[in-house]
Amino acid sequence: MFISSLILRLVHFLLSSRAWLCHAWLRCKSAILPSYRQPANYRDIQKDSKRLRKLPLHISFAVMEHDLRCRDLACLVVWSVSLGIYCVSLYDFNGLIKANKERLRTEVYRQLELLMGDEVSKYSFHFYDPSCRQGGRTWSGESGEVVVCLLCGDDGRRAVSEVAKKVCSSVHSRRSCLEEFTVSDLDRQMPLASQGIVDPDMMVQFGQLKCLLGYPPWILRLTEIQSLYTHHNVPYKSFLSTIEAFANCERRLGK
Amino acid sequence: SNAYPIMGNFIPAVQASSVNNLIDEQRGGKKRTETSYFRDFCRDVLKAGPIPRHVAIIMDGNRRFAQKMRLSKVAEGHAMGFEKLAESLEWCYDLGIREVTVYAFSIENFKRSKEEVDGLMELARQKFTELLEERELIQKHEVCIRILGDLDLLPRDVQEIVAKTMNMTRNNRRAVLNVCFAYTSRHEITHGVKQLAWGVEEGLLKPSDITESVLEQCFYTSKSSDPDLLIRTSGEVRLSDFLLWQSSFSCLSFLKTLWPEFSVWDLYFAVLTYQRNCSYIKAVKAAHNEKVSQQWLQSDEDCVPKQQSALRDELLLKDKKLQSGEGCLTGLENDAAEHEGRCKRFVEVLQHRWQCFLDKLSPPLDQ
Repeated sequence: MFISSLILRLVHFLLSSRAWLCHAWLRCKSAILPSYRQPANYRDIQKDSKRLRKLPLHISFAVMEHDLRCRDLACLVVWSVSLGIYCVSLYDFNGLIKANKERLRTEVYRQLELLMGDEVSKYSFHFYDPSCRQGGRTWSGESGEVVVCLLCGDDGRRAVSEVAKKVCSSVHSRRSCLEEFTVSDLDRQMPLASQGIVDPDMMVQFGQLKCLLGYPPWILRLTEIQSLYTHHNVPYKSFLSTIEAFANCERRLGK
Repeated sequence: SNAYPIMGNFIPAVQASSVNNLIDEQRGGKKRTETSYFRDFCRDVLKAGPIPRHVAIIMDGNRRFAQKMRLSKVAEGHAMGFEKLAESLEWCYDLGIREVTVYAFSIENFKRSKEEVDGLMELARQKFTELLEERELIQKHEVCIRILGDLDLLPRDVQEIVAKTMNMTRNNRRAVLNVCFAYTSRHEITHGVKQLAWGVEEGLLKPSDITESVLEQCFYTSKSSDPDLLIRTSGEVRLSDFLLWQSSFSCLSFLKTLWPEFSVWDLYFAVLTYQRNCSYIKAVKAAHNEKVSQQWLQSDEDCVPKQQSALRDELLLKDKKLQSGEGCLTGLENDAAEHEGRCKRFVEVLQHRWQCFLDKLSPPLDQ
C-alpha cells in the first residue's frame, strides 16, 4: 500500500510537471517572439479575424485561479472585441472580478486606447452584473456595442433557483399558467437571456483545475470548453488558438 | 461531429459476424474477464488515491469509428459502442466506482428522420427486453438500473419495459446504472420547476421554501449524488445538454479517443485527472453547500429574513437554555422546522407520484 501510494505520487508529479513544462515552453516563446505575446496592432488582429471560418457570438473567460489580474483580463476583452466578438463574459467563483469592476473598467479602456488609438470611439461598453437587478437594458448585438458580463458562483445554481421561485410565485398568483410552460419560457426568464444576451458559444478556462466550479449551468448547453494554463501574461497567440479551435469545430445539434 | 452524443450507444443494432470479428480483434482475442498482472498492479496503485464514487459518461464517436474502420453500416459502430459500455461498467466496478450515468438518447435526437428514430426505438425495445431476461445476473450483482428522462415521449410499450426494469431493480444497492433516455438537462430543470409550481399550487410548499436543494429533489437524478467525474470521448469539448446542473462541481475529462476504442487506460487517465483535482473541488463544493443550507434563511419573501449571525446567536441562546434546563424552541427554529417539514412531505409526495406512474406501466404482479 505504501509503495502504491509512492508510485501514485510519482505519477501525479510527472503529469503536473508535463503541464508545467508545456507552459514554460510557451513562456519562452512569448519572451523570444514579441508577436507571440502581443498583437503588433489592431489591424493585425482584424486580419486574423478575417482568416477565421466563424467567430463566437459570445465568448466567456472563466478564471479558476486565486490571483486575478485585471490587466490580463482587460487584454482578453480587448482582443475579443478587436476580433469582432461583442459579447464577453468573465467568471470567477468567489466574485472577485465583480468586486474589482471599476478597476477592470479602467484597465479595459486603457488597453483599448493602447491598441486602437483613435478607433476607441467606435465602441461603447456596457458592464453588466446580473445580480445587481438593474433595469431592462437589452444588448442589441449591433456593431460597436459591447457587453461585458461579470459572473460569479451566485449566478450559477442559485440564480436558477431564484428564477424557479419567481415562476412559482407567478403561477401561485395566477399570473401565468403551468401547463403551457416550456423550456423556452424558462430560458426567457434567465438573467442573461432576459437581457437579450445569447449563451456563450465558447468558454476558455484558465488554471489547472478541470472543473466548471459553479459556472452558470443553464447557459452551458452547447458551449465549447477550451482551457489554458493561466491567464497571467496570457500570450495573444494562445488566446487566438482557442478561437481557431472553435472556428474549426462542427456542431450538428443532435442530428 | 455531432453536437449531441450518438444514439444507440446503449443499443446494438446489428450482430453481424464482421462486427463480432472486429470486437474479438480489439480485445486481442482475450475474454472480457481476463486481465493482466500489470493492469491489476496499475489498478491497485490508482486505488491508493481517491476514487470517484459516481462517474458520468458521454459516449461519443460511434459514427466516426464506423467511418474510420470502413464498416458497411453506421449501426455496426453502435454495436461496438454497446460492447464497450458493458466492458467499461466492469472496469468501473473493478476500480470501486459504484454509480455510472450514461447519455443514451437526447430529446434533440427526435429531430432525426422518422425511420431512424423508429429504428432506435425498436432497438431500445430489444435491448431492454434482453436486459429483463438477464434478471438473475442483474440481481446477483445487485445492480439498480434507472432510466432518467421524459418517459412520456417514448412509445407506450418502451415505457412499460423501462418501468419493469426499474421496478425489478429498485431495491438493489451495490451498484447503480443510470441511463439518460429522452433526456436533456434543460428539459429536466424545466420539469423540476413545474414540479415545484405544482407543489405550491397544491399548498404543499410556499414560494419562499424554494431553494437549490429543493429544486434538485425534483430532478430525474434526485436519487443520485452529483457525478464526481464526467468523461466525454471523441475529442468534443462540450456538455451537449447533459447533467448541466449536476456537473457544476464535477471534474471534467475530455478524451480524444472514440467511444468504441475507449480503453481501461483511458478510464485510468480520467481517474488520475480526478485525483489531481478532487481535494480542491471538494473544499469549494463544501463552501457552496454551506451557502445553500443558508439560502432559505436569506429569503427575502414572506418567511423569515434573518441573517446567519442571527441564527448563530439564537442557537447559542438555545444551547444556554438547554444547559439551564429550558427547552423551548425559538420562533426562527419553529419556522425552520416547518420549512423542513413541508419540503420533506413535498419530496415524499413527488416520489410516491413517480412510483405510482411506474406501477401503472408495470404493475407489481408482472415482476
